[in-house]
Amino acid sequence: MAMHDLGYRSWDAHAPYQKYSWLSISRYGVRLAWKSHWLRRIVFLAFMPVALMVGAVFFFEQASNTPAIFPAVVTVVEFLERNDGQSADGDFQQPYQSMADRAVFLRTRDPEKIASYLSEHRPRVWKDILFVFFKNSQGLTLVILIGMIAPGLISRDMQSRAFLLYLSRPITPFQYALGKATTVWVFVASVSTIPALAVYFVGVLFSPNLGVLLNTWDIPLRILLASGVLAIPTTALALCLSSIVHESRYAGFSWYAIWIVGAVATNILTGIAIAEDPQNISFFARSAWSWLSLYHVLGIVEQWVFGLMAKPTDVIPYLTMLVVLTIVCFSILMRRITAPIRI
Amino acid sequence: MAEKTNPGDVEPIQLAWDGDTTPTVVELRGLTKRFGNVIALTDVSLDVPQGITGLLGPNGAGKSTLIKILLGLVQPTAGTGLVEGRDVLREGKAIRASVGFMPEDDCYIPGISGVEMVHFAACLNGYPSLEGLRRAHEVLDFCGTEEERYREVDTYSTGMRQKLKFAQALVHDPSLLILDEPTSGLDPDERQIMLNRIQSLSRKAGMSVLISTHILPDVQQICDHAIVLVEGQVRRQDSIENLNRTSSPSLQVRIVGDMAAYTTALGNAGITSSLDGTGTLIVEDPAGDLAGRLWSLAFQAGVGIRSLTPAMTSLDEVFIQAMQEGGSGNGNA
Repeated sequence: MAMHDLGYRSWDAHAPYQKYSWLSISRYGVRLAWKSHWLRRIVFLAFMPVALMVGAVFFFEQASNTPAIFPAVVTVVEFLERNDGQSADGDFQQPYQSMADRAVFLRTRDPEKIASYLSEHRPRVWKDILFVFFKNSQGLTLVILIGMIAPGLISRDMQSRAFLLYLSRPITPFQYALGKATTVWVFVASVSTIPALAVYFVGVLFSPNLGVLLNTWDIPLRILLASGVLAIPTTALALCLSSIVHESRYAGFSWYAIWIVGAVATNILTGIAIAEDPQNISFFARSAWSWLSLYHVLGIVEQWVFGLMAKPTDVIPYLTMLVVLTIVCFSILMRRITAPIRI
Repeated sequence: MAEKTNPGDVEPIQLAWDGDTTPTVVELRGLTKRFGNVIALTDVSLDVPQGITGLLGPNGAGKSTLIKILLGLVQPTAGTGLVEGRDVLREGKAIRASVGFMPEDDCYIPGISGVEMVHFAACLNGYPSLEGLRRAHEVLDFCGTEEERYREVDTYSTGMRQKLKFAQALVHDPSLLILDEPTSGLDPDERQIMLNRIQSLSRKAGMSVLISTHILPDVQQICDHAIVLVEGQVRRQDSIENLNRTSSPSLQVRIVGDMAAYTTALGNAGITSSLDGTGTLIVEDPAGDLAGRLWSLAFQAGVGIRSLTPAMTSLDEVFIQAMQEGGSGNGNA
């Protein structure tokens, strides 16, 4: 017994954070996950695309100060509008009628004309940049990141039988699941939501005046919604897989298999469809086989979230898929969490 | 499935510890729990008084289910219960906030150190992080966990994990401590230290303790009361003192000299006696007035009395008897 041992001492401390004690689960979860060197490297790499996005916004906004880059900006805007499907509905009228007019327009150095053009296309371009950020770079990064964090979150507790350690405390199985999910969301937010909001605010700072806030006020909300779309179904799926097995490696394997097999199948079938109809190619192409791949489904819903879908009603089946997936995974998760208590 | 009764309707059934005025910390009435076709608990009514109470029972007796019901983790199929005045059906969270639980399973969170785990337990109870850390060190000191508290729990021996689980159960200073096999995996010295700690918690800190265990000497040594649960039914519940009493008052006599002559003298005096396997004579004393006569009969038979004590039943015998009996209601001894 230690020399300084004073025996048992009562403690009459107040517990003010009982309602939020599930946050301790996330805090410890994040701390544990952060111990992985590989995870730190992935998070570091995940920030790389942010520089590209900031660069793109800077390039767009700089056109008002440097008219020499204005033609390049117009070309990029035309490319985006040609490929995302919405231009087909004629949402955006170009300020020229013919190729000859276009050539004249590209040579303009009139600051008012340039400012007007940028102002009209700014929300669309920013949304496109953020959509590409969410779908292409962060979507892929999050698959890797969640695959590193989530599989062990519940399976390790099952293996080490730590359930009773948590649930003999004043927390409910739902709060336990919420604590685990928040662990994942912290990483999702740190590599997608926060950088995307940062890109937005950097864009505001680069823009000629704060009037752009009136034009783009909805973008932060779309970023939050896109983060939710990205985080909630994926976390539910990952935690569900983690709760099904006692070995985290099996959960991790299943996680990556679902993404890879789905994406490969969709790409092959889409490739076949394109080979049969080469005209049906676009940057934001939506294949009839997209539903096979969670990655593609998320991309389609993200496209809708950023208002880049020509026919918003097209999202309904994909959105339903995500909702059903989330509900099913969450139900399995809750059942698995409460099973050790019931038995 | 039986109907759930109103949680407020706790019937005033007279239970064990007759005449014992010790306040109760747990009151269960008519508790039944079914898992599909399996009946885990059948009409369990019991009172756990303040002090240290042993919950005894073979594997599959329903002890773990009973503990989960007490913690509000599992809802009973029928019956009611109060833990420290809180309804087990509706106030599970409040119960768990004031009850400390040490699971039998090797529960630990891989990758964190011992002190982090106890700190984590304090945070789960809603305490501020810094306060929780200070308290974690305090209870680890009490539990005799020295520098190893900074090692990852994955590297701990079974004994150290037991201490850690004990510490995490104590970290929020519970008023009721539920310990599931607290001494399993401990060497004899550590076991004795653990029992002393439990005893000091009850005697000095006024904590009520419910110990679920298979180790009967532990119960005999530190418990004030015991409950024997067999096949989901309470077969015995009483103070250790009462449980140890024989069914009819008897005396244990050990003599120096001719045993045959002494038993003959007892028989001639109309006193019923029997010899147990250890050379001790068990003499029935229904009226409780035989001691004087035994001395004089010994003198007459020419033998000396080495010891004369009231006969006691060992807890092992009580346990075995309870196991062999059929269901008998609330099992008041």
